[in-house]
Amino acid sequence: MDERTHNAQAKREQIIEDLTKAIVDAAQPHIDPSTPREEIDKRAKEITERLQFESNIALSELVTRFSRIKPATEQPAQERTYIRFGRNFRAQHMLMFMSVILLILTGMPLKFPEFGISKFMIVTVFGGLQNSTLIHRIAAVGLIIVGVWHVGYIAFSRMGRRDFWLMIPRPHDAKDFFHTLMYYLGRKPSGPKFGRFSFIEKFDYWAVYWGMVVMIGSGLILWFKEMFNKGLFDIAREAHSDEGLLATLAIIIWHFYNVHFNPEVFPMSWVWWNGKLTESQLKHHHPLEYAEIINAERKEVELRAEKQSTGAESES
Amino acid sequence: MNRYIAFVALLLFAGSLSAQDDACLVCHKPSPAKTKAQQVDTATIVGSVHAKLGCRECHAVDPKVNHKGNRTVFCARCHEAEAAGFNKSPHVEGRQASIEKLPTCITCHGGHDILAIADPASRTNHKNSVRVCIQCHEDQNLTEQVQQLPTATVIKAYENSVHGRALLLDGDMNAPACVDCHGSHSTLASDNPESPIYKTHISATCGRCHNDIEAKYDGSVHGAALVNGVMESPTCTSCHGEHNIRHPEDPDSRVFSTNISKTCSDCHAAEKVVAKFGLKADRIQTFKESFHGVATEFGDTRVANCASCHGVHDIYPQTDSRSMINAANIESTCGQCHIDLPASFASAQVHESASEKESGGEWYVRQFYVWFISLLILGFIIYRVLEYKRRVKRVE
Repeated sequence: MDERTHNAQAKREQIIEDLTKAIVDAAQPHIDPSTPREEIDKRAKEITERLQFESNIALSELVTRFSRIKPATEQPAQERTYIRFGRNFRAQHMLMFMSVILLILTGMPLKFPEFGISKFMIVTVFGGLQNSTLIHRIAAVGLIIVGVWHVGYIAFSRMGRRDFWLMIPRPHDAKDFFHTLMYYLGRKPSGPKFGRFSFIEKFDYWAVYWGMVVMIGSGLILWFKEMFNKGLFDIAREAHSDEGLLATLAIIIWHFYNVHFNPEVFPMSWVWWNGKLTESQLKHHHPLEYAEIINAERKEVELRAEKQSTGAESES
Repeated sequence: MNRYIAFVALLLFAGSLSAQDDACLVCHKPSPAKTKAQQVDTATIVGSVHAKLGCRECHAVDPKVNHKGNRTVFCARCHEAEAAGFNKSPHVEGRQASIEKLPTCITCHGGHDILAIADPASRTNHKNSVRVCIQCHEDQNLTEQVQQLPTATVIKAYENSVHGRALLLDGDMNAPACVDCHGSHSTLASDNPESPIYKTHISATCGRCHNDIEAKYDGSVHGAALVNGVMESPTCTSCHGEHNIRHPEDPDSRVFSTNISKTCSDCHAAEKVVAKFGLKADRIQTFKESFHGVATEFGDTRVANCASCHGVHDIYPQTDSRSMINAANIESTCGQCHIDLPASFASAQVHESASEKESGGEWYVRQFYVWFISLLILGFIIYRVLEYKRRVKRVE
């Protein structure tokens, strides 16, 4: 150990000692006088160590999130990739988020008109309610197109049909959910193994599904109010306003966390753009799907080999 | 030079000054050695409306007696009615309270230089009279001394008001000056039942110019209530303002489209008024929650405000057949804007709130979402906290 490291070590120990002493002093009035001195020192030391540990964790979180230095698990450049989302599906997602962002920006201020930021958004950014309501309707058309497009996609595209089938909630999703909770609570050593869609992703998907039905349905009633009566109009207005808030909160707290703020993907998972997952990402997040793909490939290889051998036999 | 002009003027108008006056002028002629009070500029007198009056018509002093310091002027000898009005005014009453600088006839009309009010140069000419009133009422010492007087800001707001601009900037001599509402000589305070600005007299005072509106207002629910002694009921100034009164299309007006709900809320959301007269307290709140209210908040002037549906000066109770929101008229009221809406909209509930059970479906939708959103967000947060704790543990 050279002198500099030694000095730093000594300094750190000095700080811990001082901190321990400060803690004992501060806690003095609350300590039972009959407690032995060693016990007090031991507890104080535990607290300082804990503090040191927590601050290290916080620091390392910050460093991993905001620096370009990736953790040691950085992928090698020439890794095999798998297509998770096809071109069609990615295009649906892009049109949808562009519409939804505009819908939120022009819609949410109307729920909180007294807020300064709402006035800023409507009056300054969009130049008045006349413009913002027009933009809201244009974005609404975008969202309706996505809805129709997606229904067509899950009905007529092979990949869409397969994905929709896999999206349907099953009993094992509930099991996975409880498994995850048990894991988070420390009752299980590891989390559940997911297939192509985890319960988190299924929740995300069905939340959007439900949201689309309510928002488009109530929105159309508001838009074409002359075809309805005022009782229905009022209910649609309340539902549109509340469901809009719910959707916004769900997007921020649930979806953005999953695809942006989660330390595993921060700052963003790029799968929405290129549709690709690397082999290790696939293995880590969707181990069952990965196993299936590997099995299928192996079977195909075997089948081909078999075919070749039978072909050779018949030839001879 | 001035003296030369004075001399020529004296010669020209010599006939109008009597021999007696010449005697006064023996002492009171302009001279640098004398104080201002001691010298009389005859030119101003001969130019004034009182040119034909002799000195003693106004200054009832005996020239033989030493009359030093005796400045009493007797306007009332001719102007009896005006003087009687003035003697009732707070300007005279104030003398008992020993307020300094109280005005007399001369303060407003001028002394030797007094001109007829029709003369554009007169201090009390319609347009100039505003300046005469303001020169005292903008004095901070005065407004501090007399507590019941409004401050200079309140008074001077007149200059930017629709009336003030019309008179002072555009020179519209039909626009009212101070005296048109307050009275010229009596200027009684607003709490005096004889005052033209006493609450029950305001509509008549404004009605001197706005007579068609006065007739509408007097028949309205507000006008009728005031006649019946309900002093809380609004009159013209309650909605339009007083000195600061603006054109209804001026965005600073209290009755401008986006401001009117706030103006109505002064009474219709005020605990005291609402409780006393059994009015519905949530009218303003429910309007704000409606799309009309939300759009108003963003400064949109196309949407309906209170007056669009309830009327302006001609507001009647819903039960009155003349009311715009009477069942017989509601369809045409909504139809002012919504020509394409079915009649069922007009007969439906308005001013309803999702926070009240009476609103029906909306209340259930609101309840569902309040619970759904709260529980879901709580669940999300718990899930995230657990996840974070586990992550920390794993690093550990």
